[in-house]
Amino acid sequence: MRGLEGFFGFLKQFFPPDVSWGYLKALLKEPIPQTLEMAAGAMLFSATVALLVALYIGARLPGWRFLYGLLATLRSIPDLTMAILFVVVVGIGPPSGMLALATFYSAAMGKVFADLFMSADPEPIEALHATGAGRLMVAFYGLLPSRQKDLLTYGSYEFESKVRACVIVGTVGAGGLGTELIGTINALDFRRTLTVIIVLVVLVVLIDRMAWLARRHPLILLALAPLGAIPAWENRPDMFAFSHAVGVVRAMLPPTLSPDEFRDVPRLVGETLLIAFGGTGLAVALAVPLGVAAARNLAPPILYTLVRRLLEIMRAIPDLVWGLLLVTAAILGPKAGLLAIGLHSTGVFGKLYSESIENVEPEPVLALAATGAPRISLAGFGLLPLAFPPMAVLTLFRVEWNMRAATIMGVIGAGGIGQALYNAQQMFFYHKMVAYLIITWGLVMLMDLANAGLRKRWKITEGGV
Amino acid sequence: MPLLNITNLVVIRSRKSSPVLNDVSLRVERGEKVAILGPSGAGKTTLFRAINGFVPIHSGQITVDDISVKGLRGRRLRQLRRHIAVVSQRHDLVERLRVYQNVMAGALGRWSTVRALRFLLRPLATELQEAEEALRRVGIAHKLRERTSDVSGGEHQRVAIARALVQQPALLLADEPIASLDPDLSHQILSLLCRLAEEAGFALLCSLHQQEYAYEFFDRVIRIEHGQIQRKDLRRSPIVDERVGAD
Repeated sequence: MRGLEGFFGFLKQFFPPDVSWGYLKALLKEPIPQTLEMAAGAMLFSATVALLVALYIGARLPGWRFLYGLLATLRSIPDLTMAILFVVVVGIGPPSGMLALATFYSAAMGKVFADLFMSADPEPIEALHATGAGRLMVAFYGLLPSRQKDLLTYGSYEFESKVRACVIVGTVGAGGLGTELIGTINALDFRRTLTVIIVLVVLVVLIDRMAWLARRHPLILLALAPLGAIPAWENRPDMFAFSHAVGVVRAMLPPTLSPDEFRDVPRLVGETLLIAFGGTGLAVALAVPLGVAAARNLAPPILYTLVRRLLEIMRAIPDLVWGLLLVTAAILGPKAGLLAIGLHSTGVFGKLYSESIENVEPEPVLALAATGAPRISLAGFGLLPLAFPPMAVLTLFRVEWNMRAATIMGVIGAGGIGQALYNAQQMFFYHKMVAYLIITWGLVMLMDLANAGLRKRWKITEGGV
Repeated sequence: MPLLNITNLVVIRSRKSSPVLNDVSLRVERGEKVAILGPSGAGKTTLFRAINGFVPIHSGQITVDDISVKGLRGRRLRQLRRHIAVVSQRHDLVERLRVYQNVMAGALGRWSTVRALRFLLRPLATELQEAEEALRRVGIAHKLRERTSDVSGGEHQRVAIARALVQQPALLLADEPIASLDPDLSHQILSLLCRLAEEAGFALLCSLHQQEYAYEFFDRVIRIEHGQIQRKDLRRSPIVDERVGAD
């Protein structure tokens, strides 16, 4: 109980948040625009690259297998890990953050888009081939229109997660709200920490609403282009530094670990796995009841409105920021990482689960209701079993994501392999850093492959989500 | 020289299972209308896909206009496909495109890449006229600008036929074109296909379940079962003769 009291005592220090005009003005002047610019710039870049590459792969033009493999490889290096690398190579500040985000998300979106294209209904595609049309034309007349809706849904969801990602890369010195957040925590200025978190929640909710609008009027997204192009240009990496960057990369090789460090690798990997799976498990346990409570077709309005706000907040605080808070509250090591991933994923799962329940075909449920069954029985016999397949798919996808998150939790002292990686970077042991980077990459890659294998066996495609 | 000449065609799915098509031989002359009868899984669809170069030929030969299909790739394969149009029972239109876009997809084989892309964004009046003309011939000119997902099942089939017309084929492969339609619509679609074949002069190879339609509309009927042709060249059938007699 003492620990709990201590935690509440710690929480008290966050109140009231610093909403003085002076501080808000300071936030508005630099960190907020910087974060949004980074997000928009990275988004524009990665969406364009992703779409082109995915169309190329979807049309199965020469070398598509190689490109697909490249995407899968690149997206196995988590964004923050990439940012740590780019901070070393390109230097501290927004350009390295944006470069890391753009690279990671080009690969991540590119892979999803490519999967969408490749899982497109084969019959219209074959019919187009049968007219003697070239592969590229089949892509434009068949793949693009038949997947347009999924591309938009996923694309707008991506923007939201990119804003969160921008905050995260900020924590390793890439600028924006993340750098500000770390600053307030390091200065023990928790009232301002809360302000930054609130700003973050508001931003994410606003973007969520905008995304909803964009799905209805896709042309709005075109307006984002100039918004993204300007910061992308302003934050372009300095080309003069290119030779310097090459030199730095060369100095990092070959990757080396001392025998002692080598013996410690299994522990680090085990911890990382514990964080990933434990966190996901915790989130599932919490999100099932919360998801039910947030479903508009199940719960009473007061309940679902409240639960929805709660889930929004949990979701808007990135897992890494949850980790920061927990670590600051003296919950250290893998426990913090596990809880952090659990809390953030609860917000994500809660929303997705409730949507799965709301999207259930109404007919079988109505048939049940016609028997005079009460609400709870309806849920148990109709809605939940029917919503289970999409829920399982969404959870499976998130496991991949949480694996990435688990590898970076260490950066803030929340356990796992990220700690070793970050320490190596901070102490300029670049050979070691690259070694840990390769282990991280391998770990995530294996997880992705295992997951892809499972999905193949269960005949699940990303397009089905 | 026949338009389509298939000799001793064998198509296998895997080394272990029995062949999907076993020693199939078939000739179709220019402008001829041939029906293929057979139960589901007899190999009708595979036969059509083999003609179009979508399934590998294990042994035997398929020639279209004296060009061998076996081993054709890339540009040469696309050139062959330009002259063979396909209409099928499957939903093979791109639902999100407008009707005229689906119809003019039939021209993709002869259009340049630039023209095809430009058409998606900004179709010329003459191109729209061509689409409308094709749609008029299948009787649904008024659906020109509708979204394809909004037209009915029978109209879907007509859009697919209009696409085939735009392709200006020498041979039209119709793979169970009436499988999902009611008897009235089936009758309409088959007579439309046959009339168009006569007007435009293309050969028609059409697979069906219903033998009464086969004898009513086609010059020649072939029966295929378990991947093999059972009876060849049934030009007149006792059923049809009886019915003619009864009338």
